[in-house]
Amino acid sequence: MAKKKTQKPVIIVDVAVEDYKKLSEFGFVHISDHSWAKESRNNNGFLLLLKKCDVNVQGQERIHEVVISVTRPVDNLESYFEYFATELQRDASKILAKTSEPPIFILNLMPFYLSITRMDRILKALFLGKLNIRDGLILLMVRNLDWVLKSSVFQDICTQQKLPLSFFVVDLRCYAKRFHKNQFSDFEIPQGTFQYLLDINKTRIYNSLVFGTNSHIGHYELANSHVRTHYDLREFIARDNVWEYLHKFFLSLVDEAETVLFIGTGIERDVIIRVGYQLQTLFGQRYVVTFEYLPPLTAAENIDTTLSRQNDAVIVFTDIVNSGNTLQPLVQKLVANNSEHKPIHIFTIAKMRNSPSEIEGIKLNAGLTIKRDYYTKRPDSCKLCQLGQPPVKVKEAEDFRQVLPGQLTPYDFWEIVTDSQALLRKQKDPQGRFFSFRIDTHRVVRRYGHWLRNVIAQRFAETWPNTRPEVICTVEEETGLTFASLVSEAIDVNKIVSIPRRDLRRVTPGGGLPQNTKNPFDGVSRVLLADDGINFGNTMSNLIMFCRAAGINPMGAIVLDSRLDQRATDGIRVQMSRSPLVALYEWPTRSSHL
Amino acid sequence: MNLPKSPDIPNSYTVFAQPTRSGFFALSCLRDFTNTVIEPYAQAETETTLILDFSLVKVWDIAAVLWLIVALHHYRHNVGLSYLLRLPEGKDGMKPSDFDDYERSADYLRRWEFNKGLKNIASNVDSLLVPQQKEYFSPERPKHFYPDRKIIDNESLLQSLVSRRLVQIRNLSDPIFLGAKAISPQSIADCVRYFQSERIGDILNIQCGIEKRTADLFSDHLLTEALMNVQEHPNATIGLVAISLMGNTKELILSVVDNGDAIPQTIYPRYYRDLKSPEKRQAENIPSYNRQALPVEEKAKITNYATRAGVTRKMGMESQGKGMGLTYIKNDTVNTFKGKLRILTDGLCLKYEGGAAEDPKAEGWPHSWTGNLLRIAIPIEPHLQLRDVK
Repeated sequence: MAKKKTQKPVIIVDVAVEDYKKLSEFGFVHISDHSWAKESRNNNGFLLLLKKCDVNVQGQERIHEVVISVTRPVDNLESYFEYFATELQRDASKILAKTSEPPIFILNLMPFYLSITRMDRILKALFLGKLNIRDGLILLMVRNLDWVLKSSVFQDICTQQKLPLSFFVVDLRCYAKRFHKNQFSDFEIPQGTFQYLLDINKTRIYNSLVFGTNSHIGHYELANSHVRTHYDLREFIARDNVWEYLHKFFLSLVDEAETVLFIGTGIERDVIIRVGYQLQTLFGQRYVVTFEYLPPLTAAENIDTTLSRQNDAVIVFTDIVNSGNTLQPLVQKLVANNSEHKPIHIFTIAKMRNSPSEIEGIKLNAGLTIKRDYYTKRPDSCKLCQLGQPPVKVKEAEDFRQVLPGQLTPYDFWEIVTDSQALLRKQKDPQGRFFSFRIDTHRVVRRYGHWLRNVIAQRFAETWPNTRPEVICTVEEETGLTFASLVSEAIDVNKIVSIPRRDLRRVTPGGGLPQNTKNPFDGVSRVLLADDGINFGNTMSNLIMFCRAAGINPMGAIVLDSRLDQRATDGIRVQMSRSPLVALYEWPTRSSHL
Repeated sequence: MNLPKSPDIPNSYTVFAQPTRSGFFALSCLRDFTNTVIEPYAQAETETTLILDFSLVKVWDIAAVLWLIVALHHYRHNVGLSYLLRLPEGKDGMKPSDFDDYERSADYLRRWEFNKGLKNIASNVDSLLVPQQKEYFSPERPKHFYPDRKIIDNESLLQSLVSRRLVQIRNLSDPIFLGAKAISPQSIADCVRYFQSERIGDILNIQCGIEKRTADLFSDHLLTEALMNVQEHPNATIGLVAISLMGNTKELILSVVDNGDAIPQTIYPRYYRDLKSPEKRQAENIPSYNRQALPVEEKAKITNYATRAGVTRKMGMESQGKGMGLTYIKNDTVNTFKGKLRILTDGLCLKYEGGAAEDPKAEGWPHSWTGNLLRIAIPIEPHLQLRDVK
């Protein structure tokens, strides 16, 4: 019986994010953000991409998402992709059973930095194995299509005519190649196509900067202002969705100009130059693009105004604008030398809430507005000066990355607690103890985990130079595990051992490990204890006792906050043979008062 | 040997590393230094502290720097040789041009973070330096010959690479820590992620005029494959990678070294089975690799065999679809980039250039340590302004 004619199925195939770690054991490298993950993209963009590849789509196609996770144990990349192909075949069969239309498969490998040898193994598993999708169309998305085209396995597949009827490969740089009925052709999809596929929603990009990027908090004294935060723009702009977001802005500013001068200036020199090069590469095929980097404090002196006069448009771009005073002399000079009234634009990746909306009468275009204020240099107008926060003079971007000995200051700690809405009042902890005030570690880490990682890494390096634990040990509760995970990321130790509370309660100084408890530290000599906070010290004492019962003297302990006074802290340290106990923040009040 | 004593270090002798006449420290200079100067002391099991004096070096080949680290590790770890390093620097009384050359040489070691490589030998790198140079890697003076900022100079390829932290020596293990991680896919992956995300291709495209897709292949392919190749060398505890420029030859240099089993050793069973005794398929019939017994010519054949498509140290089903890493590196270096590939392993040096299919030039390069070195040299456009490079 003939199948009922239905909508053409478009099957988007992804590797499950939870498999990335497994794949990394085989040298498979994934990008550091989730731009391409299922939940952060717009699937209709795939239809547009197909159209740009001249594939006949009407917009009525039924989109199916297949996210494949290989759950069985695999010991190499080929095995992984063989099972991947089996899973894909099974899932695709279910979808195709309901339609007679030939399918379109989109295999999304954009999240991976591959190589030709890696591609060999993937292609072998997919096209020389059990997967049978010869009747359909396959669009393979990779970051660099030459990984496919130079692959010897791919050449074998072509020779053996094992490619599906239509096969496309498209890369992030918009290069593409089509194979159809043994004919092939090179083409390029239009720049900007991925804007419709990736999520470039402003809120998402904002959250990606403020909560998803490594950040530093302090009291930073810049040439013309004081600021509280700094975000690692280097990591931020490397994200695919962020780049598409910025690209859209730049494209609108270039407008109809044929020759464009991009002037990059700002303290994040590496970021500015990287953006400049990327713009040159991106726009270089359509426009005549010149890029100049100028150090921020001497930009006006060094600008070559003949260059600005030679171009149809000038775009000044920078990393972050606070007061705008640093940019002002440069813009002023460009305006003064613009007798032909050519367009001059200013673009900043981010600005502060109270930054000016224009500089020298020219609109300040900003990718994002950070919901914080900058302070002027006058001490009486800088809240951070008034509160006595330890200052860092910033002359170069590297200065932002310092963690000062006094951090976390009380202001640091309570600001992150307040901003994360993590102060819990009159509540019980997981052990049923009542507290007037408690900190929700999970919320703090979710919002400020990036910065806390820097603080942990710094404290760890100061306290335990040239050594590293093999294991991080904590109590098996969400709060302890959350902080232990953060510590593990900060100091790059993968193994966390969590001890159930009931085992901690049963451990005694004279009795060794509790009955029926396996020693989790077999073959381990260096254990670092981690817990979210110390209130009375009972959990920490029990963790130490458990380690000692297992034959280990911990190398020390690290916690987010401690309410112990010096005497009680010493007591804990004595239990660890005076090994260090590091608290990122020490409450000034004794635990009995809280 | 009649060598000068160092006045402030008891029971010590100074031996000088001799660069070429122009002050260039090439791989061949390292070979001569280790074989003719250091080895006699190493074999004599002397209690003397050798002062390894590099103060005559004006320009470094990055491959020689990396290979030197592997050699120094061997002499300390396996031989127990006591030594201190004296590194080049400008000194009062020198001619201004010499002063600049030696300061440039010192700045090179600082900017390329030679000290990170030395961490494989001692966690306190200062303990490897002569007393007068304890502050060598943290000088008060800025590294003015290789600045990473404050200069308007977008024309310089070197400047771009330096400012993006792409030149510094990278460890593929973590020697800084007690309980260091051995070379792992994860550590290699971290390195690959850094290089690929930094878009070196854009730099080569804009500054060298190399076509975009070809330029991207440098980091997306050559660099990645070279890094991945380290995993094919068992027992490696040190892995190092670095990029540099050679101004005199106008080449971009990528070098990767490790101290694992040598390529001929790892590939020998496969070579023997395929070429020497194809009828004897059982592994037990393959004689064990004897480093001392095999002549250089034979080792060269084995190493060259390792660069052929599909040749891997793995056997049977496990080998299918593998063994392409060195083949791709060789083909793309020589054919796509018109460059040169040098493989240094187990006492020989193979040079590929001007057509990958041709047999490489092989020469003896004796060394007492185990390990492998890849040196990939890519020509860059002659119009480039390499004003920072000697």
